[in-house]
Amino acid sequence: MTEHTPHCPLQSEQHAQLLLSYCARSLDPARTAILQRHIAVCPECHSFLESQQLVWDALDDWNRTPVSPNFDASLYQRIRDENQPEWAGRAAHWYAAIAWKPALPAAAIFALWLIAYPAPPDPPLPQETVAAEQMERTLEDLDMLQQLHLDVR
Amino acid sequence: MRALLQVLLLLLAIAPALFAQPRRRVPPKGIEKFRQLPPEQRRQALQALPPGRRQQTEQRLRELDTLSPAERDALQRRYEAFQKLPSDQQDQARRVYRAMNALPPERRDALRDEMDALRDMTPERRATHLQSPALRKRFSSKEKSILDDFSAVLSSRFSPDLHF
Repeated sequence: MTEHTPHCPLQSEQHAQLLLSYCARSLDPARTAILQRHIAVCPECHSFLESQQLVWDALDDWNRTPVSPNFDASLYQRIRDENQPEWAGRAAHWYAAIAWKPALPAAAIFALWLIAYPAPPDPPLPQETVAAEQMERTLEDLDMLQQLHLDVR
Repeated sequence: MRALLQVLLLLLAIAPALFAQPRRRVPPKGIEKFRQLPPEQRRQALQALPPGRRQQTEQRLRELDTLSPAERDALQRRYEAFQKLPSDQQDQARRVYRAMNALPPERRDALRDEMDALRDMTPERRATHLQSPALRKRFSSKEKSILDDFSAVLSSRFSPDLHF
């Protein structure tokens, strides 16, 4: 539709698109002016415009709910949950629900405790065995020093 | 407040390490370590050894008890010096001792007499003596080998013992 086009936009699919663009407030100013002049004299277009206006008013009144900060993480989690067995999903939820921050001081204390009191080495041989063999070895050496009459320079 | 609580917990956790006393007193060393064992504890300790070795160890402990304090001190000093020797030199002396004790008593006595003689010789004299035909006649090749090892022991870091 141009300024010189006498046709109603509702009678042509191509021009109807112009009317929809006008309702969407995306039409350029020159065409908007032409269309407004036509609407003023065309009852069908005026009626169509009113119905469209109701839709746009409803959209204007709709308050968009803000996207939560962890929307992406939650979405990916749900996608993963869909691919996981049920028990794994529950375990993942349980793990994610734990607040780790309060546990950090306790973990730090435990780490210091381990440093201060390191784990004992591997258990030694039974004490009696070690003592007996050590005693035997020492007494053998003492007997050797006496029998061979040896002294170290 | 929360930070203060955390610091307090931290101090409580490391306090035992900061103020810990030495956990064990210094044990007696060498000879005294075994002599000071109460009889029951000594018996229990020796239970871990096979019967033959246990009897031999008990015999050595009894011999140790017969020494005077001065003799024990001297033996303790020699033992400590021996412990500082390189392990190969320690093992060389042990080999001589074990080989000699594996001989029959009469051969052991003969070998001990010869060792006493070697101990009084200079290294050069010892070398000449060990090659002498007279010595070869009196000792078997095994006994000669023990005497050679003993000579090597004397030539290393050992000196003749003047205490016994």
